[in-house]
Amino acid sequence: MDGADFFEKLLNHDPQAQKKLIETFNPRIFLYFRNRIKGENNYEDLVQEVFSAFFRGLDQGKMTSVVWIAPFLFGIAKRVLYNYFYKQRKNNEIQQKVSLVCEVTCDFTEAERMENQKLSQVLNLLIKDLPQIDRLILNAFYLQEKKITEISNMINRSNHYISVRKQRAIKKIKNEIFRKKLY
Amino acid sequence: MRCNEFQNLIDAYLQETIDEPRRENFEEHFFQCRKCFLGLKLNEALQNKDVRITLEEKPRVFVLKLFKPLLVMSSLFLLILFSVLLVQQKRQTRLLLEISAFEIPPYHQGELRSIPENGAAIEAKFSQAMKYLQERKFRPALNLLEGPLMEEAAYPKIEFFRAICYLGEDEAEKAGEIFDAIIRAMDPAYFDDALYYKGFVLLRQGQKQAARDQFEKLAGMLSPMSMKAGAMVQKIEAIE
Repeated sequence: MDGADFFEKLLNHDPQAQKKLIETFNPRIFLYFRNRIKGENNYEDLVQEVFSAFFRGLDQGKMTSVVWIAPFLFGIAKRVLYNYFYKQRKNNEIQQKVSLVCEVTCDFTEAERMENQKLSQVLNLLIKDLPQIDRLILNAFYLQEKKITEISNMINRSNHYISVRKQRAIKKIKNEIFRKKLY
Repeated sequence: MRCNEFQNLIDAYLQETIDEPRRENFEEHFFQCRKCFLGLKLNEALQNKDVRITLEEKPRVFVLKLFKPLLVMSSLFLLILFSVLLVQQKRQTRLLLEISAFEIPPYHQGELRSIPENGAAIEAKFSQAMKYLQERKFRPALNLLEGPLMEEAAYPKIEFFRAICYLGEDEAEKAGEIFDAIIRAMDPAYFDDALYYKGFVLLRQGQKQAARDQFEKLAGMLSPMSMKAGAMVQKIEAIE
């Protein structure tokens, strides 16, 4: 499905296209809210608000091309976040169900959890194929929460070496995921 | 924001040490870039300790480690062996080619004049062909020997030299057919010569053993060619 075709289908309320859009952007919106709002466990309402505003905007002709989808969604997410903080102070609740404007019914939180779980599984699988030195660095940095300097002292290498190897290891995993179409 | 700048800010974003303007640009970028978002998710998963990072080597890696030098050594050995065999094969082929170089057989002039029809003309053409042959110009000699007048004569001498021309032109199969016909006919004038030169046909065909047998057979016969055939047997044995 090319961009123009996809956009046309979204305009025509095609459930497959709507599902694909939600699958693509749901994790991004979750990550955005999770990083912006600390101490909150439930982002479901906020995510629904973003998607419902998006589909309403689409029906109102606020977008003309597929290239505007991501910026438009980001703009909505920013506004929803602003409203969240503003309304929270007024003790109001955000209530805008996406099912009113979208054909797809979806548990966004569960979908995001599943997505994360799938990514972890893939990551577990691919990490095993990395060279031992890369695994050692990732283990020390992420699991043991060691600093780059500590790791460099531990294996007698420069900070730059550790930093580059760490980034390359993640890049290798990322490329492998794309190559095998795992994500 | 460019992708490489994004990559450098991932840790800062996840640890919330990024400043606000760059944070917004960063967020806008991952909304738009699928690859960068995946990189961010991978870092997030690692930071949340959602993965297991084992440090043990995989068993197959160990096996490979053990067998890798062996594998390299055996490949090297096979490569050297193959090269030596190839060089030896080339040397054998070259030597075979050297000993398969034959001398032009002698001929007697005037013999063909006795052919009842066009004897003189045939003799003249044959003499010309022999001149070419002495100069090892096989193709012009063959053209003359295969001319209409010569074919009609169907004389064993002409046939024999035609076969010599084919041998010189490296058409061993055709030469072999003619020599075989002469051998079958058992013409006393060219029987021994045909046997001898058939040996060269076999050499040119790469049938070293068959050629050796052929020369050996002739060497054991009471024949004017037996000495030459014996020498050929020795030459073939020398390259074995």
